[in-house]
Amino acid sequence: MNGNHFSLILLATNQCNAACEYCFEDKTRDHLSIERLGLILDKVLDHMDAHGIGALTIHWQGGEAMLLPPQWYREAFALIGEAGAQRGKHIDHGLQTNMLPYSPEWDAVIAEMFGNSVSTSLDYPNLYRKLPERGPEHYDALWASKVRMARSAGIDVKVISVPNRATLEIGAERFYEHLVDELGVTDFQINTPFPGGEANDAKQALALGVADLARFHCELADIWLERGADRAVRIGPFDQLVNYFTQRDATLPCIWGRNCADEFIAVDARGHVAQCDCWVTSYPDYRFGNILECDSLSELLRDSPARRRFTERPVQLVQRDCIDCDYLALCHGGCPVRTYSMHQTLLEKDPYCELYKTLFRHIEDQATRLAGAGAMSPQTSSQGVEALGS
Amino acid sequence: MTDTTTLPADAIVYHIPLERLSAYRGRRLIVRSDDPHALVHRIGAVDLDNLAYVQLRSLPSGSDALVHWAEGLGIELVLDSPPEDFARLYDYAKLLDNHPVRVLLPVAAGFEKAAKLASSLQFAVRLQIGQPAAPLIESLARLLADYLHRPTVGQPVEYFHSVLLGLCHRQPISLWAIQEEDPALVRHVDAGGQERLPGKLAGADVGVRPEQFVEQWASRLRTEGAECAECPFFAPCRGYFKWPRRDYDCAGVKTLFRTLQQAAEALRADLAAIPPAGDANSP
Repeated sequence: MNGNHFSLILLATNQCNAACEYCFEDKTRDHLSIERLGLILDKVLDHMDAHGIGALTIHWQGGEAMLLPPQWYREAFALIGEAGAQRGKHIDHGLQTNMLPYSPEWDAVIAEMFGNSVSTSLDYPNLYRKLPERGPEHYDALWASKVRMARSAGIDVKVISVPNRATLEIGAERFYEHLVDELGVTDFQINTPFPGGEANDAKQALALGVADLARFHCELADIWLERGADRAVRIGPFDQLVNYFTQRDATLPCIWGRNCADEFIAVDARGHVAQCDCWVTSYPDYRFGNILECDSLSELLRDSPARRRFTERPVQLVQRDCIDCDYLALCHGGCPVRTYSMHQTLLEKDPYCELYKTLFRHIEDQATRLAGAGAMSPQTSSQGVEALGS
Repeated sequence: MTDTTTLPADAIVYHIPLERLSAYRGRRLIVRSDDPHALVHRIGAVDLDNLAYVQLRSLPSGSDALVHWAEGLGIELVLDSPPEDFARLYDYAKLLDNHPVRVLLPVAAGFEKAAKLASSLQFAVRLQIGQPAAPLIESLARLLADYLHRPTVGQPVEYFHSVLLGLCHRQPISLWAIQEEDPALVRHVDAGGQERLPGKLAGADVGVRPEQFVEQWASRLRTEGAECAECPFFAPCRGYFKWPRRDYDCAGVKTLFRTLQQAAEALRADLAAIPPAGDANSP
């Protein structure tokens, strides 16, 4: 694990209210009890003690995390706060939600536990996100109304968006207009699609031409640089890449970490432990073990053959063509789950390699041009969404 | 961490095997071992104040023991066979959370990959430069270009870094010192407790006053009319590249010096163009 900080992606429930066709999770009706949360927390804190780690961030996800009531989170927050204080640990919380169950009853706990900020997801045009028996339009309308309600309560709503074939058809200009100008989203992250979990027709249709997707990314980055970067609009990963290429502090997405196995784990509502939320419910063969059934999380992680496959991945990849890449320092072979879901092995580089290289080169050129022109705005900083966004 | 600024000129630093620690307590030390756990168990808190850094002579699996030990203390990782071992650096990257970490690697066939990965993981690098042949000069030139110009290289690559800063700030520098091979600054102690000269001087007979070796060597090269007599980079080099073979052709390393000099001049000009802090008229 990272020397000083531990990130835990915690699926408070494996249940979801939505039926998004491209979801990578194998959803169940399991959810965490406060008692089980306490058991998990004790082992996480033991692990942190054993490794001298002082800070923990819990990224609450699901399923749909808001299917547990606000009162449950209040109890969880109190329990975690007390345990953390006893052990001398600093603990932060982040919430990833589809926002559909949101009501003003959440406001107090969102303010207190999550710093009045949440991260949610929306695609445009929406092809796959829907409620059971309903269409994408219904989902979009409900989502927009909930987001408006949350914003009116002063909650900062960040968005993760996954481009699809319709996104590429409408183009970056229209996409930016919709999110920023029409929906008022000023902090969002673009993620690449992948067919994780059980196969279906929608996931087969997720595959996009890498060159087309790269063009979309570069065009969107240019639009953002021209219109949004100096008006407090933040688009990940573009903003962090600009920071990187102008020698400022940058928090790059987890897909480009030197080794995600050193950075975080996910635990689902049944106690299964895996690399991240993309793996924990959907790929039983890649689970590290079960935190509720082990004596020690440290031993579970140390002895897990599945985890070893993750730690070894960049070691293997760098001995092939990644070592020749100009952008090795930014990418380290990319995302394991994107690789596995498309190649059925971890030991290939990320299928979006060419997209990443094109984007890195483009942002590097733009950052160099802007820096040379003295046109750089203050450092762009965005927290939460881009660090751990699937 | 381990650049020459941390090696005091007024006291010799002894580069000792961990097993000799008790005999050298109280002196300025670099302590080396193959075993991270042994370093943790045998170096006490009382020793830390006198440590310049510790050197891990090989990369056994697992660096966890060092992650939270003596936080802030420099660690140097030795890659004896860079083409075979370089990928193992991933296992040591977590040390960077709490330590300045430098990778020491010989400039030999295949070293480029190791240098590139080390830089990509944000390790500092120290090159055991020796007397590089022409093909290696080409590799060094590429590495130097990356060090100077690529934003992906954010940590020092020695000896480039110290020479660049020295030339930029017009400060006296010596490659012998930068490479930690000046007998006036560093002594190597072998497993048997014998004091040796450091680096490429090991085993050489340099006379009875080794601390005067560099100046005597430099003076001799100049007075004997060697290539050094006309060399514009003699001041920072001091005959470093003429050891051990005096007939080594320095044309290649001079191109590297020239590149560094040009970069230093450009950097100095850039620094001079920065308005003083608090200048209200600055744009």
